[in-house]
Amino acid sequence: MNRKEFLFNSSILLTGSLLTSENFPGNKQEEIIYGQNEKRYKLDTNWVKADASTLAVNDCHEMVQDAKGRIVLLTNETKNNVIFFDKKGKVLETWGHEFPGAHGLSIAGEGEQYLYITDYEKNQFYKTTIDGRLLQTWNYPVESGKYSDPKRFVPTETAITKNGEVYLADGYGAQFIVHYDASGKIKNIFGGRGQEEKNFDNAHGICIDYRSSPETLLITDRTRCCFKRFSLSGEYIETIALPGACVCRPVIKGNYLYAAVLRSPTLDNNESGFVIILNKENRVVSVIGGSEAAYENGKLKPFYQTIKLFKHPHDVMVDDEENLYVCQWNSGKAYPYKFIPVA
Amino acid sequence: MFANGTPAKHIRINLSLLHKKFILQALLLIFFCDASAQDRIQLAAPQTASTKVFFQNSTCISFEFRQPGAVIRYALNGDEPNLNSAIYHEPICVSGSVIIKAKSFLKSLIPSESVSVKCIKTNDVIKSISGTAPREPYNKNGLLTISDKQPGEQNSRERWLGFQSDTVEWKIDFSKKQKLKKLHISLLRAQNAWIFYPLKMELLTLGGKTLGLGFFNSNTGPANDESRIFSFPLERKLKGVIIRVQNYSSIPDWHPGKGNKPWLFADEIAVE
Repeated sequence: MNRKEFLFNSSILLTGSLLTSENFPGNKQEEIIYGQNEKRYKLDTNWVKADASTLAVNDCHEMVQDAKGRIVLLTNETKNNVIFFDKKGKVLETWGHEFPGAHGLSIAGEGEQYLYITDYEKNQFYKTTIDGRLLQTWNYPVESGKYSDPKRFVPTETAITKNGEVYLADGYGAQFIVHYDASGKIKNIFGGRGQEEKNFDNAHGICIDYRSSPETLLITDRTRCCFKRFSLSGEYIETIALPGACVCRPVIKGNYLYAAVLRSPTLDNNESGFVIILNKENRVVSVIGGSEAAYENGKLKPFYQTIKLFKHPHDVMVDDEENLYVCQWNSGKAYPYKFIPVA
Repeated sequence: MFANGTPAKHIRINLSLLHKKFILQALLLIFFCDASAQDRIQLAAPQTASTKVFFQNSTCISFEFRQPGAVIRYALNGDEPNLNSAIYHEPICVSGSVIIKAKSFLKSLIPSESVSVKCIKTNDVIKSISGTAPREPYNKNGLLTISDKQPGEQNSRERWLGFQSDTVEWKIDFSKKQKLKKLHISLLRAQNAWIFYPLKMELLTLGGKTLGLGFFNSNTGPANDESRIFSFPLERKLKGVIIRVQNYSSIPDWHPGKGNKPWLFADEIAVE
């Protein structure tokens, strides 16, 4: 190089600040309380009593709790797609080797319970017994007239009514919500990709909101950072805007709506997620790892990550003791975190 | 050594030094991550509206960090803020070129990485810019917007101009022959969107004499998105300059879009 030449310092190597000893206190840190208002928690990242040699996970996509109080985790690791833990994190049993794209996990049924699993790689979704016996398989809904190619059906989530009807969100596919009767036949189809209020762009999750009367559907529109409320017959009702929060599936426990935020402020930003909790009036009461809610003229200011607690939170589950569990996608095969409520 | 993309004069790069520095950083990261990653949680950086500001008289920079109990500390001299740095309470107003760095601090958590805002006081000396035109759809309002002092943002394609030819060349005429300190050009890297830094960038007099030549070293593997200002020292009287940018002819082999034409994104050229 001659005297006029130089190297632009554009390498990633030197762009971040150097982590120095000043930043790493030698003593174990004080216990930190996460979240605000009535939803504050202590963190237990070592909740799972297992290691990679005995329990393999890949992406930890979703969790539910069964009637026996067991915590059920769905992962796309085909060594054990479905894992049962007790609340202390002990592995009780595992099953499932045939769901390489295991993504959505719902539980339904009074008395005998059933699991509903969506698979984005096999373009199918399934109903199984709680111990893994396959009862029903749904392929792409060709009879709806909306699909000409099975690969356009990439299901991400189900919601089950008390009488066994199924709402399926095609969140990685054509963005339709397909409503099946209790026997599995199509009753209705709505949504779809588009720009209108009734449309979606990444309808990643769906649940039935039993807090409302009559009951309604809450459906994720993830790239647009919101949940959308629909009637059970598929009419658009309202949008719950959560700017800066790319929410995954809506999870309702008691009067609260919980959601993992995969990334913020858009899906382009790696490892920028957090967890968000709304009350029945749709006001954000607590954010774990993200900016505290701030309203300006009744509207939320954009959220952003404040604590690098998570990499890519993908789902939350609240157990019967109000403990909050967070499982993550693309996060170094991390086991779920457990958050214990504090007064 | 090249803080914030501004090269010191007459510098030769000691690559072995760069490698040693990288290895040290990598070892520190590996050690601390492995030691107790879950017990040592780091804060995210404060929010700010823009990481680059071009202004004529004065400008005020705001930061925000809505984490209860946390504070923002900042330094005006380009240094990394530490526990002794000033606590941010209100917008920081400056009347000269300066780099403001800010970090979040909260007891028991590792301070954030810093967010850096480059404030550049510019002179209104650019009379015209001509040359390679931006391509659709990234050509809104044409080439002149590249000197409108309205920079784009890293997470938005608004206000960015996109170029896709192997060589991009702009002729910049100043209002009169005058002594100028630096010429700044702001570029975007967003590899997932096929937006890459170029191979090299050259600054020439209107007569074709080389004033400076800069090489980039960031396209050898995946790198985070960033918007960054690169600066050429001038320190001489000039009537105008030519900027010649050599792009990669195709996206490198390691990238999923290999073989396709990469984009060059620029949003601002300013003279200090």
